[in-house]
Amino acid sequence: MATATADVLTSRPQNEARSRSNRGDQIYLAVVTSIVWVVLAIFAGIFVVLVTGAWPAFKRFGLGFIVHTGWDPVHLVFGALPFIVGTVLVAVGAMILAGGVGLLTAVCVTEVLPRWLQGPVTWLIEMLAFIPSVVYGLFGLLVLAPLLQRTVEMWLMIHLGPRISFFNGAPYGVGYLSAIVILAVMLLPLIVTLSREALILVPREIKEAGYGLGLERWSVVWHISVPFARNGIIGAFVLALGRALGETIAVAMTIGGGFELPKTIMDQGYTLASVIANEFNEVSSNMYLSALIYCGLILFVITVIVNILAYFIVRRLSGIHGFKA
Amino acid sequence: MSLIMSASPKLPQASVPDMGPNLTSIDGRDPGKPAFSVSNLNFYYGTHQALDEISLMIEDRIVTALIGPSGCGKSTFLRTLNRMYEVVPNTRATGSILLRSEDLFSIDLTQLRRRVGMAFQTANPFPKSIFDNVTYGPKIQGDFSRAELSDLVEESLRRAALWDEVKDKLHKSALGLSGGQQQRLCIARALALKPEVLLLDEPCSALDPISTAKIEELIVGLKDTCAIVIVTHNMQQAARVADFTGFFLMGKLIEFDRSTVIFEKPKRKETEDYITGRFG
Repeated sequence: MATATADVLTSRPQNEARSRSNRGDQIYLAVVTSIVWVVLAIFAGIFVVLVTGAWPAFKRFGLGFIVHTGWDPVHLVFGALPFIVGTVLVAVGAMILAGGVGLLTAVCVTEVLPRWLQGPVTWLIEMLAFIPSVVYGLFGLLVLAPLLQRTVEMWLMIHLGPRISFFNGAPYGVGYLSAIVILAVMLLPLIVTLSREALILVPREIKEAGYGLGLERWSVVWHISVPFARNGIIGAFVLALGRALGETIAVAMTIGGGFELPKTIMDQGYTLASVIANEFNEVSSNMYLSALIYCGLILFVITVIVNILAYFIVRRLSGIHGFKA
Repeated sequence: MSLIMSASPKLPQASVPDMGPNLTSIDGRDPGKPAFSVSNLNFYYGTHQALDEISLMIEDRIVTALIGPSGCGKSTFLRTLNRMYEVVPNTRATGSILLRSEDLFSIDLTQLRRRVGMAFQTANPFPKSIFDNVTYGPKIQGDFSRAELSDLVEESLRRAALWDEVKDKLHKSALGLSGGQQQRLCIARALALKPEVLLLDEPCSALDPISTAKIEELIVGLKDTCAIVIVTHNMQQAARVADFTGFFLMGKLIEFDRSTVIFEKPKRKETEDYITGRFG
């Protein structure tokens, strides 16, 4: 190291030090850049593997695979529409449940509960995220599905079924509804934790401005805190949606399995992820394998598109006039 | 002139003769009634006592300044006047405060905060347009036509001495304004509710001298419509704008009198030490 005196007396040691630090910078830059390239290469590699694996099915069914139904491993006729619809149904259903409950919980944890309870409650909710999804699957299969079968599904069938055909199904227990509920429970910690962080970051001054104008507590929460934290909350929802689209094992264990389009919410079916997991062992031909990988490719593309859309939504909303009352 | 000491158990009579500007009854207020009559006010954060037996009267339509070293309780006192302290958990106030002749602790909180407006240490405009900032309070209160809102915005911004600077960009974001303009916008936002009292919690502490001068000027200009209570670290500011000044020290009100008395011939040794810069 060049000492301060040396710096003053001659310029050489200083230059040496600078060039040494330049070398350090270069190494640092090289390492960081190569890590970025590794990540991109993994992303591209997955895409290439999916495309090559799906190629036989793509050559045979083309893009029609996306809009066709029918899943016949014997005659080798495959169409992924039921799984795409199933994926959207399960993800959206779970997001509605978990989004509503999760946002209210986050507001409750930050604004309503007394301070000494906030920490423990948050910690308990975060713990939900550490439970392996196969355990959720078991719980869903053995506890939740029978419970829903006796209660919610019965009620839906009797009271809503006659009027709305979407609820007029046989209460099997396992099926789309059970998958939705168990998935919602899994999304909850993600939504609560991230929304809570966004709400905590709302400056005290802004909230005080609201109180100072005579707003009541709930008005301050809904008109000031939540709009102010909106980007963070949307971010939480996007991450949760990504998880909802891709969640595999818990959904595979509770969704029942089936190759047809859902007619009611109690039907049994598959999502793109769960059909791969459950049918992989049944693969009887290369074409069947290729069709499953094609499903994987569709899921991959959907997830990427959702995240790109989310990026643009967040960017548009974060404009200076974004905050609405 | 009455000197009100923190320890005095009974409030001395408010002296009427040479008190502030000529008080006439507008908008139905009791003329001559003090804005606040505070007696034996104690305040606690949990077990910590932050205010100790405060008694004083804050007259209508004059400027009252509260000075004292950091942590002396002056901001806490200010925040009891619109019960802003209730935002903080575990706080408690005892004693009595009358707003005019009503018990302040039993006034509906929303009504109280509308009658007693507040601007804060840091300018805290909402990330919305200038127009929307000023109309935020009134809009939540009730229905106004677009024309009424426009008039209200102009009137409030004029009173906050901001109109000329922003009249051409009312629908631009408030966050594009300078710090001083933002602070005047926050004052305009409070004025839009037509408060009887305006509380200012160190409104100039983050501002440059020119912005500070503008705010001081507008404070003096607001005296004909409302009472103003300002907490400040800046003794020159208190001397410039305030008719009355209260000196707080360690939760007690040491001396409360006309500003001329406080800054020229204070009666208490502590006050003299503080204003001459011997401590604090």
